[in-house]
Amino acid sequence: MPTVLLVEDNEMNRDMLSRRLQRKGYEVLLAVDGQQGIDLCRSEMPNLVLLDMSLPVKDGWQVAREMKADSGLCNIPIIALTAHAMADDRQRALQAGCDDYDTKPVDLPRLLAKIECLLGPAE
Amino acid sequence: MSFTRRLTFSFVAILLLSLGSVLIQIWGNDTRRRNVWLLQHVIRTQSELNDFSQRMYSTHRKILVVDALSDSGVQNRITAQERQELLSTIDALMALETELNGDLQEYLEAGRYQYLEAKILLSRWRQFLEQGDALDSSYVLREYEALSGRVSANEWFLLTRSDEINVGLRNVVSMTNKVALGVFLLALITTFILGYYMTRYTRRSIRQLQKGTAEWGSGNFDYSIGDMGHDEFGQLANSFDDMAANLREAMARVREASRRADAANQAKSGFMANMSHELRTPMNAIIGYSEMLIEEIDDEPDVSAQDLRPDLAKIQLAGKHLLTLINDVLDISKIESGRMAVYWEDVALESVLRDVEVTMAPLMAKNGNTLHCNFELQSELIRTDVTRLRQILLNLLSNAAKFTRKGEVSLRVSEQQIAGQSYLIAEVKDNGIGMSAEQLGRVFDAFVQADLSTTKQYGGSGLGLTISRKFAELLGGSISAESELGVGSRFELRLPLGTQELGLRTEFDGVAIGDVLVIDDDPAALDLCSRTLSKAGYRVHLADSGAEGLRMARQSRPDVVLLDVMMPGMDGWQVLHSLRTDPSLFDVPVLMLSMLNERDLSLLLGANEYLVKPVDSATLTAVVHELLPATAVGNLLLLEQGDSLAKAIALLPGAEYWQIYHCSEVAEATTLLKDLPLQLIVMGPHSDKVAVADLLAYLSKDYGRKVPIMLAQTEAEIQSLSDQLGAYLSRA
Repeated sequence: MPTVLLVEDNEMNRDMLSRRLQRKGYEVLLAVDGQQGIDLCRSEMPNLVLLDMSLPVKDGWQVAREMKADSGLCNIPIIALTAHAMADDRQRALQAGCDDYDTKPVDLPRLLAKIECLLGPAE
Repeated sequence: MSFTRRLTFSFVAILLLSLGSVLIQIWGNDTRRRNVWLLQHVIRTQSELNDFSQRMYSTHRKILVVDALSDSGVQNRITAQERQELLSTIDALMALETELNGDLQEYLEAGRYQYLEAKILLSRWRQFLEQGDALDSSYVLREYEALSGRVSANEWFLLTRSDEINVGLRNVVSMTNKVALGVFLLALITTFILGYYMTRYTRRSIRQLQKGTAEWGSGNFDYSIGDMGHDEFGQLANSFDDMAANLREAMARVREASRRADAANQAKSGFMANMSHELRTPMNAIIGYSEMLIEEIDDEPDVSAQDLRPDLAKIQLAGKHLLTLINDVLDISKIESGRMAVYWEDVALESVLRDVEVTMAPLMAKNGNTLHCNFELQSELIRTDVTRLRQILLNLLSNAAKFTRKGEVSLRVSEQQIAGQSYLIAEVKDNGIGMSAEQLGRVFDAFVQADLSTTKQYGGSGLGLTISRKFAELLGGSISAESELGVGSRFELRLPLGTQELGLRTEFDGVAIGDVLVIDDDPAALDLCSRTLSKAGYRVHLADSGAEGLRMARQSRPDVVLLDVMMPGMDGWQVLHSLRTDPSLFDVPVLMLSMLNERDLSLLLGANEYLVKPVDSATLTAVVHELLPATAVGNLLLLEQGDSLAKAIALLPGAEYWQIYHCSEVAEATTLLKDLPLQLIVMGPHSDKVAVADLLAYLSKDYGRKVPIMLAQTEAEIQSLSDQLGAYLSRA
């Protein structure tokens, strides 16, 4: 089963989304801040990262930039998942290196479609 | 030197030169005329002398002929007539000689002429002719020769003299011409120099001014023309500099205002983005969990409700957080639009503070903080808006609790006298993470959060302090903050206490202006209307359903009915219909309140006025007042000697709704106080200070708690009182 790393600082959202993804059959890894997210990527090599942007320690934009600059991690697709839903937030996320962008509150079917789209060629 | 002086100086210089030229001309003309006159006379004298000489010569010849004839012995050689002619000629010559001698003396200088002395010869001739004496020819000849010599000498003198005069004349003309030319040239040069100097000076000054205006025009308002002396240009330059300084200030103000507007705008946009983020986060949890629960129930139809409970609790928690956020935003927007009402009441502060302490306990415990409370209160009751006060204290304390871990938080409340005014001081102090000076400077700003990362870490909308400060200002006080990064923060709330003698006590407990029946199924709405209207002086009756409302209205006819549209059972439209068809109630004014805007419909169905909820208290009071029948007046007692206040009051808007009792004697007022239900007492200047003081004491002890009293002793107070009355009468 594909492994998804969920980087999210809000406990409730982390709990909710991880459980829903698990129910859909994904293996879910959890990180509560940006640095932990990068560390987990290195050690676990997940198939995809769901990245919140407003994170403590190291924010999502920073994480995306670092991962895309790292030859070992640049192939892991990243979906920015953020409550920053203003017009230019999508652009900011994509510029930072994210492969896709989705807003909170999460529309699960839409998010799943995006995940499958990004995981498709890999499988 | 001033510009005018320079100009005057130039004119005077040119004028003097011209004057000199004119004087020289006059002198020259005069001298010339005199010389010409002299020359004419000299020439005339010359010709006379010539004439004299010729006539002497011819007479001499004739005498010699006569003498020669007489010598030859011819008798009657000359006729008597001929002799007579000769004698008259000799007389004329004698006269001529006298005249010539006078002329010579007059026109020639002494020593440069000779008297003619022709008389000897002429007398000799006359003697010869009259007496017939023999003529001594040689003597006569000698005399004649001498005379001729003298005539010649004089002729020569005259000639020399006329030459001299000619030369003098030429000199004068030449000199006059030279002087005139000189003066002309001098004037020309002076004019040129002055003109050049003036032009250069003016041009330089104008250039300086022009440079200044050009600099300012291109936006360099720091440019200064500098000192240009004290003349007109200097003054103009100073005016320009002043103008530039004013412009500079105005520009600075405009720039500052624009910068602030930009900053506020940016802050607002930032706030919107942040709020969107903050609202979406709990929304994500609510939607996510509820979708998940639906999925779970769909997947396992027999899942136990107990299993779903933890997730439902999370939805509830997120929902509550969302509500807090929304309330904060609403509070802010209410404050910003000036619609936040303040309810003043006498509260037992101690119990409020204990309540706050208890409320805070769980939050303090969460981060392992200890709360120390220290209350030093002198008055049992203080006058304030307890809801706002509590909100401020809870905000300050929860901030302290949030930003402190395993530390100390203290709340000290005391009453202090500062500059003659007594204040309630509440100090909240912690030893938490503190703030940098930069964060401290912005900590109270609306839409600006101390630090985005802090907000993320510690949560909250970042509006608590803004709201608290605004509340404090609503209550007439202030909040200040001190902090040091890593050491802790200290917030001080300062609220003014004490009742001023002059001023309004806006609470009415006494006789109501009118009866208002409020019909609404929402208890919160009932409570709000009740509080607002009773504070405005109305007696309020509450009904929580349409049927109950109708029953109460029939039992005791109200002056105004406030009617909610959406109610279970009998709704507002039905109640309105019943009221309008009831013979005893059909003319009661009805004010409809609803969430929806159905104004036209409601007016069609017989409502008198329609307001969309939420309604702020000022609007509500104003509209109810409008609807109140004119019979429901308030009683105003005016104590004043004279009638200046009475006149002022009569002119105020809203005065027509009041019955005004005007008395000039304190005793009269005291009687009225006992007999009449009063809604307002106004006291102007009065000579009987003692009686007034007694009356005031009585009012403040027994009456004053119920009725607002306005005092005015001086002109200024009367003025400010008129203003307050104006606001009050039209509001009530």
